[in-house]
Amino acid sequence: MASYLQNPVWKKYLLRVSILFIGLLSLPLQPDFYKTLFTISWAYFISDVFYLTTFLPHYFGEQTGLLDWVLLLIIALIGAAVWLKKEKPGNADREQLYYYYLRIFVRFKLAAILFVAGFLKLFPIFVPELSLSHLNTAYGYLADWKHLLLSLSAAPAYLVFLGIVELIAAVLLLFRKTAFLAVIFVVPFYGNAFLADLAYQGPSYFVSTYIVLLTLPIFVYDVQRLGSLIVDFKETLPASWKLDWREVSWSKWRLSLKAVFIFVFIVLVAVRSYSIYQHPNQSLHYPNESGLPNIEGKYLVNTFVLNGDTLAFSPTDSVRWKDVVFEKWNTLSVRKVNTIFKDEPPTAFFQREDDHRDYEYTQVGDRLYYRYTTTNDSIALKNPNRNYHDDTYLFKVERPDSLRINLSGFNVQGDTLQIELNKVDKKYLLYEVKKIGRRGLGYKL
Amino acid sequence: MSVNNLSQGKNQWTTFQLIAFRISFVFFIIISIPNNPLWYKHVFAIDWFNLDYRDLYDICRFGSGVNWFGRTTFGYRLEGYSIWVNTLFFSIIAGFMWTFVLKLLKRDRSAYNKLFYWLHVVVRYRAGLGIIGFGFTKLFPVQMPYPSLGILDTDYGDLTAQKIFWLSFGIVPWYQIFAGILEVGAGTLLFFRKTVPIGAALLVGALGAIVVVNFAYNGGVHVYSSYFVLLSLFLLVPYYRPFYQLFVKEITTKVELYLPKFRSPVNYVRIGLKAFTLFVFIGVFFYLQYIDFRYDPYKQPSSAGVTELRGNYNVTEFKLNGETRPFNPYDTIRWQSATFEKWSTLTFRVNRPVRLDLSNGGGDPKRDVNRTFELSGVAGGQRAFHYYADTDNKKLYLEDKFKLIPDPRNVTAGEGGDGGVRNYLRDQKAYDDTPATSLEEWLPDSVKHKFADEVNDVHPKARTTRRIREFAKADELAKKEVRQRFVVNYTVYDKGNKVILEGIDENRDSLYVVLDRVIKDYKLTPGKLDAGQYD
Repeated sequence: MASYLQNPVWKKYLLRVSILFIGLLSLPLQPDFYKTLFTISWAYFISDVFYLTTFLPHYFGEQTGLLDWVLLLIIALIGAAVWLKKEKPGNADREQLYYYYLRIFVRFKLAAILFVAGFLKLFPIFVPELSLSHLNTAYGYLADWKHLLLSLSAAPAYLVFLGIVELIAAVLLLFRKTAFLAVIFVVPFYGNAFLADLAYQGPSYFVSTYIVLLTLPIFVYDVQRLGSLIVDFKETLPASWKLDWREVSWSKWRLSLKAVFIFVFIVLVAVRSYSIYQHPNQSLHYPNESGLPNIEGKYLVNTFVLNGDTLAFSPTDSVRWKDVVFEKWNTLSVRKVNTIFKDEPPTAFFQREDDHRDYEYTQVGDRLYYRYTTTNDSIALKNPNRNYHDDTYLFKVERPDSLRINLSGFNVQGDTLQIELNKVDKKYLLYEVKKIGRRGLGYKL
Repeated sequence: MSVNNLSQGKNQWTTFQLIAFRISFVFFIIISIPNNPLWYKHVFAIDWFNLDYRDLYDICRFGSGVNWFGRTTFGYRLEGYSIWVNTLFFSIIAGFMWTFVLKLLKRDRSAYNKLFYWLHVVVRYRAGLGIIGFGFTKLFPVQMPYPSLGILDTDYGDLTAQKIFWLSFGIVPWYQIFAGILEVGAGTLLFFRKTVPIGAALLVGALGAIVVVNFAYNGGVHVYSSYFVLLSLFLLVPYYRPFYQLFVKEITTKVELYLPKFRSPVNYVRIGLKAFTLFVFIGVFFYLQYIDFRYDPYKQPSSAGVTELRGNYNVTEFKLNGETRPFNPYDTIRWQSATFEKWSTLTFRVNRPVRLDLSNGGGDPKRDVNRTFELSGVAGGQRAFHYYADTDNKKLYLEDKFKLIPDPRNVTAGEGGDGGVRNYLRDQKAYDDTPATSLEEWLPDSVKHKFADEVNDVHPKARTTRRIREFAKADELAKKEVRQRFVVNYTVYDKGNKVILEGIDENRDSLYVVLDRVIKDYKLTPGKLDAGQYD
C-alpha cells in the first residue's frame, strides 16, 4: 500500500506514455533509414551519421511533420493505458527501474546527437565558408534562414564555441551523475535553437523539439531536488534509488557497448570531421569537383553579344549579364538586373552527391547558378535549379591572360553568345576590416 | 536587525575564505559603482517629468572599476579588461591590508555572513538593473533594426562581421523580443533572493554567448557583456558546492547562506524601495521603451521621408556639368543606384572607395543626421545623405551622414561602451577633402527657419526633455561638424515612378539625375513588428 501511494497512477501512466512516445519517435521503421545505414561509407560518413542520429519518423511525407507526432502521441497515450491495465501489480522498484532505463536511453541518444553536432561545429564544417557568389549577393535577396547560416559562416569562431558547449554537454551525459548538469546546458541551448528555427523559418525545429523532449526525463527526475536546494534553501536528500547492475542479465555487455558508442560517436566522427575541415577542397555543402584552374573570382561583363547584337551596359536590361562569379568548385553564377527568381525549397541539410548539394542556390536570389562540366576547351553550363531545367549553355573558353575570359557559344534555344569577362580586384569589407581593425578612422573602401 | 533567520551561514569561515571575502568585497563594491563623473552629471540632470528611455538606460549602463591607473595594465590594454585586472590588484592589496589591520587591532572575525549578504544585494541589483537596461532595447526590438533599403541593396561581402550579426537579429524581430524577455526576465529574477540562482544561471548562459559573439564578430561590447557573466558567477558562489554534493557526490546537503529576516518597520522600507525600483525599471521603463519603439526607434531617424520619393531606384540618366555619363559599372563618378528611405535619407552608390564609418552606429543621438546605423559598417560605395525637404519648393537640402569623427556614444559607459570619440580622436588625421559648400551657404538663414522646428518632427509622446535639450545645442554642434552638403530640386513624374534631381552637387558641379523606380524581388520581407512611425 505504501509503495502504491508513492507512485500514484498518473505518475505510472505518464512514465509509460513517455517511454512509448520517445520510443516510437526514436524507432526507425522506414526503409530510407536502413538504406542509409547499410550503405554508410567513410566518404559520406558525416552526412550519413548526422542523418541517422537525427532521423525522425515521417509516415506522411518526405520530412517529419506535426501529423506524425500527433499520431505517435495518440498511440503512446492509448498504449500506455493498455499497458497499465494488462500489467500485473508491481512494486515501486519496477517504476524506478523503467524510469532508470528510460533515462539511460535518452542520455545516450542525446549524447550521440550532441557528439555529431558538436564535432561538426568544433571543426566548423557545419556551415561552409562563404562562397564568392554569396558575398556578391545583395542582403535583401537572402532568405531569413540563409541569413542565419551565412552569419555563422562569417565568424567560424562562434560556431567553434557552440560546438565546445555541445561536446561538454555530450561528455557530461555519458555519466549518470553529471547528466543533470548536462541537461541544464542542453535545455536552454536547444530551446534557443528551437526558437531560432521558428524565427528564421528553419527546417529543423522538429529535431530541436525532439532534443528538448529527450532531456525531459533527466530534467524532471532531479528538478524537485534542485528547487528544494536552491530556491527553498532546504536540507535536501540525494536520489536514493540505484540499480544493482549485478542483477541485470546484460550488464556484462555494458563495457563493450560503451566502447562501441565511444568509438563510433567520438573517435570516428571526430576523425572524419577533422579530415573534412582540414582538406581545403572538401565541403559538406558545395560540390567537391574543382572548377577550372585559377579561375576563382568576380568578373564584370565587358561585352555581351547576343545573336550578333552587342548589348551595351545598362541599368535596366534584364537579358544582359551584369557580373559573373567563378567559384573554386565547378560553379559559376551570373547576376542580371532585377530578375524575378524562382526559388526551390532546400532538401536535406547534408547531401552526399554533388548533384544534390543545393546549399549555394536555394533561398537565394539576385544570381543564377550554373554547374559546369569541362571538355577540352569547352564548358557546358547547367542550372541545377529545377525551375530552370532548360537553362543550359555551351561555351568555348578562351583565356587570353589571367584577368580575361572569353566565352563564345550557345544557349539552349540556339542563340549565339559572345561574352567577354574581366576580372575585378574586389575587396570585401568583411575581410578587410579584420586586417585594419574597427578603430580605423576615415578608412576608405 | 535580524532575528529569526531563514537560513544560516556558517559560523566559522576558514582563513582562506575570510581573506577571499575581503578581496571580493572590495572588488565587487568597486565594480558596482559608477567611476565616471559624467554618469553622475547625467543622472542629476534627468528630467523625471518628461523621461526618455535613454535616461533610464544611462542609469543602468555605467563604467566601473579602478581607473586611476589609466586604461592599461603595465602598458597592455588586455582587450579592454585591464580595468578589471587593475581593480583586482587594488582589491588584493586592500584585502590583505584589511586582514592585517584586524590582526593588529586583535579584532579577528570568524565569519562575514551579514556582510556577504549585503554584498550579494549590491551585486544583485547592479547586475539586475544593468541587464534590464540592456534587455529592454531588445524586448522592443530597436537595438538591432530591420535593414534599411540601402542595406538591403548592399552586397553581403560589403558589410562588417559586426553588421552581419546585428542585422541577422534585425530581420527576425520576434527572436529579438525573445532575447529581450530572457534578459529582462533574468534581471528581474535577481531582485528576489529565492530566484537569484535561476536568474544568475540564465545570465551566465545568455551573456556568455554574447561575449563570444562580440569576440567572433568584433562587436566591441565584450567587456560589458563579460561584466554580467562575472557578476553572475559571483552570485552563484554559494550554490556550486551544494550542487556538486547533491547531484555528483549524492550526499545530503544544503545551501549555507545567511538571509536576514527584517523587523517590520525596516521591512516596509525594504519592500517600498524594492517596489519603487520595480515600478521605475520595469514599469516605467517598459512604457518608455515602447514609446521609443513606436515613435522614435533610436537607431533610425525620426523624421518621415517625403512619401512620394520612397523606394529603390535605377539611375537611368546621369549628367555632370551637362555631360551625360552613360551607365557603366567602371565609371567612378556616376551614381550606380539610389534609394529614398521611409525616413529622411537618400542613399546612392558610387564605384569608388569612400570613407567608412566602422562604429556600431548606435548610441544616443537624437538628431537624424547623427543616427548612422544605415551607414556604419557598410561599404560598396554606398553613401547616405540626410535631407531636409522643402516640399513647397520641391527642394532637398542634403548633408552627408558620414563625418570623420563620430559623436561619442554611450558616454557614461566608460570601458563598457563601444569606445566613443576618445578612441577615434587618438588617430585623427587631417581631413583632406574640406567641403566646398559651407554650412551658411548650404542652409542660409532665409531657408533655415523652415526647418527650425525639427525638434518636433516626431510624435508628441517622443518629444522628451532629452531630445529638446539636444536640439537646443544642435546649431552650435553643426558648426563644428565637417560634412559634405548640397541642394537639389526634385520633380516627381508618373506617380513617383520617375524622379529627376537637379542641382549643384557637393563639388559644385551641376548635377542632373534621372531615377527610375524599381521593385526588387527580395527574399526578405519586413514583418508586422516594424519600428517607428513614418506616416
